[in-house]
Amino acid sequence: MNPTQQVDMPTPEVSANHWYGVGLFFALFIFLTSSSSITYAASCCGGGASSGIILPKFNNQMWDVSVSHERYDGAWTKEGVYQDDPADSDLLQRRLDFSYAYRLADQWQINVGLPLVDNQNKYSGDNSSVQGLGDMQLSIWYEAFNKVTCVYKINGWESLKPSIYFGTSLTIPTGISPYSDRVDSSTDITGLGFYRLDANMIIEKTVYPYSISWQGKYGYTFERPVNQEYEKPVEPYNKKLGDRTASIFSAAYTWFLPNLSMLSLTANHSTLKEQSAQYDGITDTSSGLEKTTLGLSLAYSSAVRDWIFKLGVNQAQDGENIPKTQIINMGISHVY
Amino acid sequence: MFTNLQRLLFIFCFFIVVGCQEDLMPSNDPIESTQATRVGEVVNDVNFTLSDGTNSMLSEQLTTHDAVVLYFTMWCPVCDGHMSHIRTQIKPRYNNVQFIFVDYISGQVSNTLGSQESFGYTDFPVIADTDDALEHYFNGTMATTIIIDKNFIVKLNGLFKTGNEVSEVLNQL
Repeated sequence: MNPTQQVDMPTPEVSANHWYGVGLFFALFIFLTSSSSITYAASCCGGGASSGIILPKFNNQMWDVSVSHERYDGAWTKEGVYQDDPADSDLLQRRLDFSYAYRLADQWQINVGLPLVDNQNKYSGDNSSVQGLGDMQLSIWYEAFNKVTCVYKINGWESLKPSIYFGTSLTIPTGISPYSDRVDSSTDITGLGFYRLDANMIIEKTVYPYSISWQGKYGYTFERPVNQEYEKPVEPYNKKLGDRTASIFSAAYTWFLPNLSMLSLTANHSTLKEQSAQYDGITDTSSGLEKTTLGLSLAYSSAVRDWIFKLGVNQAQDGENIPKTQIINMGISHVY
Repeated sequence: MFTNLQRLLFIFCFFIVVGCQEDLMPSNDPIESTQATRVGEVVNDVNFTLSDGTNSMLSEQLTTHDAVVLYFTMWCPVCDGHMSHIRTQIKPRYNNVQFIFVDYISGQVSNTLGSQESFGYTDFPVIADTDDALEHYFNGTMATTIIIDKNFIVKLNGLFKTGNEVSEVLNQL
């Protein structure tokens, strides 16, 4: 299949290879907005919750390696009041994320995410260091479009058609959770300890050099039995975390560099909300959380569009019942 | 195609099996433990230092109250949520119960006082467990909640959940 036949607005001055890059471009854009902005604090909140990487339309495989550096700086209380950490505290989580995406069919793809987590914390003078797997994730995506929808110019209703993705993600609680005998505080965990199933949707539209997108997520957390918490055996009970909703708006601008490589700058705004947890069916009104984050990402893709280099920063702006964090992320992807 | 897919699934499973040290199929079977919960036991008349630097004893608190509730805090968002719940939902219903927060993490009385003021809990007595005496004695950890009645008997030693478990015990006193 020739990618040049898949686009709405062919322009003769760009090479055929560019259209190959078009597909990659919006996948890259979605990747930047979906994986970096909604991945949030592991400590206290468990491992990341991104929906993984998205394959470009005309590629069969993609791998990604990224490094995240998440600094904690106080927290918002249940009432939304910002609170400094106790004196002599310095909380840091570093993550090394491996992701791999594979095309199953023309409009179907799957991906897996494997995070390795390193917690280096000093809390009220007490040092702790925990390393381990984070929560792994397996996702499957359906692309509800046959042709790349990126255009250079709007020519009628047809050219306004967006790219829409539907996906589902299963989070597997491989991280070190509060319900293990390996950590004694919420600052040291690397995972949430719950299976969760997310329904995801992405709507994206690019009219060069601008792009906008929205991603919505709804996550259902499965109830689990608990017989220990923070290294302490407890009388067994069943616990269910509240369902999660997330919404991310993104906007991007792309520069086409003289050597046909691309540089994209993406700004995103994300909100995350988790309902109250339940213990044996009884709602815990002190639980639940909210978080609003602003992010900025820069991505460079090579002229051949097979390598992508990324740099991003996300800063929590507001929240309830959740730490305030800043995440710096660097990564590299290869598509083929 | 399926060769690659199978390879992918193999790698995925490999990491789960090799790297995961969590129980992916958790049960609710009780865990046999040698850790002392002291539930049902008569505890010692322990002494402790409050955040204002004064010393107190359990007996002093129980002289003026029907029971003492100890909540172990590390001043994290989870703890703050529990403490806020205790303040607004539980304490008002039990005027003759002394609710005390145990700061088992700060290590210095001045730091305990600083956290108490910073988090806005100056209306509660806070113990500065600087030598970890209470932490060890009650096997306390984050969100551990202990109820001791007037006869020095431990009625509850568990992690704070919804607060209902605390109210249920206090209602029976």
